[in-house]
Amino acid sequence: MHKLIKNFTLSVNNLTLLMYLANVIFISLIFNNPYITIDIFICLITTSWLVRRKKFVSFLKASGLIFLLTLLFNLVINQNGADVLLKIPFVTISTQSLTNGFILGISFLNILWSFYIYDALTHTKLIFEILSNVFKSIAIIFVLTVKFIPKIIDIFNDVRQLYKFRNSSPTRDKGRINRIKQTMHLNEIVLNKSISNFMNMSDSLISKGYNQRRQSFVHETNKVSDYIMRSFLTISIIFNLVMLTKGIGQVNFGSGNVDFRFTWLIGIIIFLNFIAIIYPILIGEFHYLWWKSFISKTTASNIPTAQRYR
Amino acid sequence: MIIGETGSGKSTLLRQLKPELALGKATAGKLTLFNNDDNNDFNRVAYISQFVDNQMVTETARDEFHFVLENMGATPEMIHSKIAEIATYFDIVDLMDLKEEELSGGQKQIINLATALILNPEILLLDEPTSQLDPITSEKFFRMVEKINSDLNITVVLVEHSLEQAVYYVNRIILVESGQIKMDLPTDKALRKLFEKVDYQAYIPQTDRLFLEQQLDQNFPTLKLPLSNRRLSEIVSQQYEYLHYRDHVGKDDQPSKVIFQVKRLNFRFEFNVPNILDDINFELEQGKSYAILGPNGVGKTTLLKVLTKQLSALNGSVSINGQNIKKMGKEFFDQLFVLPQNPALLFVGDSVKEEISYQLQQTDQKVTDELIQQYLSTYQLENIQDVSPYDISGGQQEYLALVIGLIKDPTLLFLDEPTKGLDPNMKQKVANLLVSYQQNGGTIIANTHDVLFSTQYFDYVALMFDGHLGKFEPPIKFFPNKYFYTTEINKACRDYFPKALIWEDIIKNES
Repeated sequence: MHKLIKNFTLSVNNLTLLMYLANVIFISLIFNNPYITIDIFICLITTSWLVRRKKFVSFLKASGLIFLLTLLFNLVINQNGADVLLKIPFVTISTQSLTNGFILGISFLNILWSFYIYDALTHTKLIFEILSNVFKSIAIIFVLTVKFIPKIIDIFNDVRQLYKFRNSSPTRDKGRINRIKQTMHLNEIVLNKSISNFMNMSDSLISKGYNQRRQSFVHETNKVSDYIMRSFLTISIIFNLVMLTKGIGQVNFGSGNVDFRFTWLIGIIIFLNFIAIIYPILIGEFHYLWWKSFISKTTASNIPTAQRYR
Repeated sequence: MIIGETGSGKSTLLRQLKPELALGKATAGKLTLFNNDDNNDFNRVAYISQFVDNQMVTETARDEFHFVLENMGATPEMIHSKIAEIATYFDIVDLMDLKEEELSGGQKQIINLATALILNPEILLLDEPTSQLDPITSEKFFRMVEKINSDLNITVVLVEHSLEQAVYYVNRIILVESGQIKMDLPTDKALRKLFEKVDYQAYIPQTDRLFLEQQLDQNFPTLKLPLSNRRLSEIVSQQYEYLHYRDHVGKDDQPSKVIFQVKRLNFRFEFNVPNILDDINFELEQGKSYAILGPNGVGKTTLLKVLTKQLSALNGSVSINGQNIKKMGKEFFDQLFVLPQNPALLFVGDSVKEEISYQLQQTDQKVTDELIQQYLSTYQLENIQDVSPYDISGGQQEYLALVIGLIKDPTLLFLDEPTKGLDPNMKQKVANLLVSYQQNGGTIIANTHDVLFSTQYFDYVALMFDGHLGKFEPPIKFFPNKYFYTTEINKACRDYFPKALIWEDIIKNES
């Protein structure tokens, strides 16, 4: 995680962070106007790169592939448009269907990248607590899912490897049916093994008093930065909701045409959403400049933290 | 401390003491806390299981403390002060915001302990808490438990499969046998009583065993057990002229055919990190056993995975009978068997019987019910034949997995922590299986923390650290050269008997 984003996460509490993430996902879901979509895409990619670099390249490759598939799928199902560029059997590609597919592909990527940021910044405990206040059993399913999907994948990989040392039957791997049977058997084995892990976690929940949970709301300490950010996010959500109900920033994909008109309202949406997505970078940068300009010069401290910021 | 054979009901008994976690329903009897029927609030009892990895519900220690305190309805101020107290007491301030995957096994278990204690319990139940930790980390953990016990006056009930380390920290020992309490005595008396029972002599720590076996208690009748190494050293110094050394560890060192060769093997998980396996070279001879020792996280399991093609080496070569394993297909997997750290990963059936039956089906034999029964009887598994392999105890799982491996009869047997969770008698059973496999020409390579087991049953041992594997040497040459990484008997008696490694090595002179 880049130091600017890290600084931002330290300056606000988890509830504010969750609100920011919900707003980012909301923005990615509702707009598909070309200007807004591309603006959102650039902001999301920049923020994602700073939020988590470790998985960035592999996610970029996967999202590139998904973009291509979405584009091709859209070219096949949406063959409207007068300005024909290419005609092959069963498929007619026009400028309109191509731009339509391109924008739809980018919109889809925006959703994926917003979840990438969510995954990197989200705080499992907070969501678990919010859920447990509403639906206790769903909260348990949530925590089991979050904890055990990676664990089940590990178990699957280990079992697949170790199975080779047990299964030395002469009929091994012979014929497709046998292979399918073996894969099904393997999946059953993995599920059996995962259940024992589930049981251990259930014991842990009981011994930690979850079954007699007394607290009915989430405790977070709010600072000024939390109030400022939440106020801004509330304005952003209300504004975007109004735009959504008025149909501004939306494109009718069935029309066979993409509306490229740029109005002042589109400009405002672009500006506001730009701020809403890169808010962590802006705040991190602001804090960094403040530190560089004033604090680090006034402290004579030689502790590693102070040195890092000089 | 509650001890007993693998599967004797120790853990079941412990869980009964925390009714929310009890397995099944009590058919008779009553559970009261501190002889007070009116105040049976079992929130005063905390429990920690042996499964280090599945105990944290949230992502970090800080969240975990919040979670527990919020469940109890604590106010934000109370949460803040409680966390401050517990983090300082356990010295885990630096670990508070680390994610679960960034913590070592020992750190996780300390956090689990801190989480259990944050609600000020009066009784702490520990179910084999160190079974997944290396000996050094285990000792640190026990020291922490002892500090809690003496500082905070908390009653600790500990279930353990071995007395070797924990015995120095407990006041009473309870023996459970077939679901019944057979003995409940103060530590000193309990150790002497166990010595009288032939079946439980193996439970006694090596230093105390030497003291009792050589009847040194007659010369030192007031001494209380367990003996520290320093105390035993004093005794040996006083009794030196009446004792002598006889080797019980050295084995026949006849060279045999090299069947497994590793040359210049390197491996790392990421591009810009040091090699986890750094230029590893060794050879294994047929019919010999090799133990790799070393603390957690030095790459022992990674080495085993690379050697068995579960991970791909960065470079270097591994060959079986002169054939490079990269060029081998299914025949590679047919010649090997791997017993992983978690033996349950090997199971494929719904019962122990099915496991045996499945493995027999992989051989050329015609599998009949009689044949299965014959194997179940040979390996003394009849009693648990219909039980799910996931429901038997950790020690029984380890044993069953080894039996499966021996039915396969591979050329090479790879074992990852084969004695983890085994009681001393079960260890002996496992050792017997390994010895007979070896006598039939099988070769064994094992990762282990168990210094005593590797001394008694392995032909060669080597130490792994920083990605390097030291030279394989016979235990009789390897351990006497070590200062810290050696047996307790060697540590206690090396000034007088430098080659003594196990209690049998020191014998009283015949008068």
